[in-house]
Amino acid sequence: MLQAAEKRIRKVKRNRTEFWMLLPSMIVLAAISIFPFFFMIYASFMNYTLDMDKPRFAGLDNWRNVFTSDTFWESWGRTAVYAGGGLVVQLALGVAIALLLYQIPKLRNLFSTLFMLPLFVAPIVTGLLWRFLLDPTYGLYNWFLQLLGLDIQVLGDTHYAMPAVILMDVWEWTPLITIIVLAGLQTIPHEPLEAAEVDGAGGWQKIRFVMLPMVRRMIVVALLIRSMDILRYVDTITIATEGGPADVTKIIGYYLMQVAFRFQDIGSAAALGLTMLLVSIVLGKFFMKVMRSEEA
Amino acid sequence: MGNKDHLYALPYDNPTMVLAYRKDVFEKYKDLFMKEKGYDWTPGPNMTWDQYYEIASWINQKVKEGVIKEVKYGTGHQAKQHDSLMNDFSNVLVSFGGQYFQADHIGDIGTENPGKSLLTSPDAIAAAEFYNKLLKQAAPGSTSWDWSGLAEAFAAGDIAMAPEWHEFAASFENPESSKVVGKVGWTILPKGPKGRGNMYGGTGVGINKYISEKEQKAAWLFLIWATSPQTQYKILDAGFTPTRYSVYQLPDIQKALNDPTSEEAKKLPLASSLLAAQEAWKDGNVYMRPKIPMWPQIDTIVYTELSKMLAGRQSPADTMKEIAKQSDKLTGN
Repeated sequence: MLQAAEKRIRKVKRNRTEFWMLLPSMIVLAAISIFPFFFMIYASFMNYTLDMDKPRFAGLDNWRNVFTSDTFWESWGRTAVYAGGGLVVQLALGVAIALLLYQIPKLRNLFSTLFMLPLFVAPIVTGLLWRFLLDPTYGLYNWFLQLLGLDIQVLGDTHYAMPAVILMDVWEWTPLITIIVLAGLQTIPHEPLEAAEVDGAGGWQKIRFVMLPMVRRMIVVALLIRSMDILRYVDTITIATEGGPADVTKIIGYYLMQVAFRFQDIGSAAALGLTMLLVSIVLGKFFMKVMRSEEA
Repeated sequence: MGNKDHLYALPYDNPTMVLAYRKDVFEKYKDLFMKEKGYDWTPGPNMTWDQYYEIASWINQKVKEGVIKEVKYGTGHQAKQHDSLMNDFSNVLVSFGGQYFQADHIGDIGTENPGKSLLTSPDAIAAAEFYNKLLKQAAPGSTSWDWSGLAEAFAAGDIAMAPEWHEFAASFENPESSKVVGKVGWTILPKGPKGRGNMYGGTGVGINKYISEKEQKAAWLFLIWATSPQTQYKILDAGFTPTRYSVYQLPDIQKALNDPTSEEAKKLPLASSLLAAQEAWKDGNVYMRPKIPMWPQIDTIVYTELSKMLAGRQSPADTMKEIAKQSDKLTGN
């Protein structure tokens, strides 16, 4: 009896210590994440523009404006193309390059370091860099295109602007997928690979039936991180195209920025932001489910 | 001055859209153009938008034939999906007799309710049709350029004519950033069938009514300093444009403006374009965009729909109707 009571007291004491130790990070988390979240919910029901003295209650006005706006749905459609296209390409490239690096153990460190450089570039700078390369007057790539006889102004053309901004994302983030998958590949034990060889499996069969299944979880983790990231990504587009031409690169994140900071309509922007949060959560849940089903 | 219902600010900074052109090209091929088309093509107050279009097309043609080698394109525009596109279009709109809204004094004093959109008028639609046609002759980079991109292309020597903000004269005359030093002429923009518009990009400095009285007094002192003749004279050196009339009457500034070869002109970064800008500020030449609370949204609608028009996604008439529809919804008319 006495022992049990003592144990309980000790446990409470320990919990109390843990509470105090966690408190600072909880306060930080609340300040940067929980408070803004509730503020967004509040703002989405208010008529709230930056030029007014006090927000007024607006009921469902903001939500109605958001959902009845064509630009909202079109922007989500373009976001699907941007995120979907970007993820597929960088996943394929990222896994391929990881497999390649895996085959060259001696040069692996050198090449993966070089290859990771784009990750250290701030997204704004990525946009500037590519805008400069594609610049109609000074751009190096533009000059190459002209040499080939193609007078295409990539960022000013409705057909090429979206592929171009997807390419910028692929350039910057393929290395992330590569290093995650490469890390996974390096943990694969030798035995299954040797067994497969003994059974007469060729190179492609080894990749397809042994290696890829063993790094599937890593791939899902990489996809989870990137998909939530790409949804809110606006930096490169802001610099490179500002949503144009003819709106073809106006993804939902850029539209939100426009509503919030150009139109200064905080209420509608909050409602828009919450739809993005919802989609992120659904996507996140989906990938988590995929990951759990792997475990089972 | 006025009443308390309106927002007032002291004028500060006033870039204005005028026409930049390559003097060397226009002098060299003057006779050839005269022979083929029968008129003096030198840009000036009498040039019409139709002539501008004809000249731009003619230069493009001669570049293709290998006759003109100094430039690559007849005209360039700031037609990116950006505020710059609204500015570039407005010059044409006004010269065709079009207006964005019904309300009077919308460009200078401004109003809270601009009234109905006037973009469905035949004048406005004719302007959109002309602008769409003109941009087909423009350097292909135009749809990816804002004012800076256009200025870079012009400074690189690619373009013969461009409606551009007059303050870019400073960078055109800077040998470090330009291949066209000494070759750039400036004049007011062409006239249309019903007038002329030179977009005035002026801004003002005001005082925030929500700050403390002490801060308001400090702000007032700053305004006096910033708009004083001495400070306004100094900003000329940095390539900015004074908003104080008396600065332009100073003897050295007068000398610089009227004698481009003088020492005074060499010291003044904007010497080549300030006369054109002053001409553009006159009544009947100047255009000031609407001062209404919802302008950031209207501006975005205008340049987004125009960008769709230039991409061939909708006709000029449909574009004007779409802008009118969206802005009427926004302004509640």
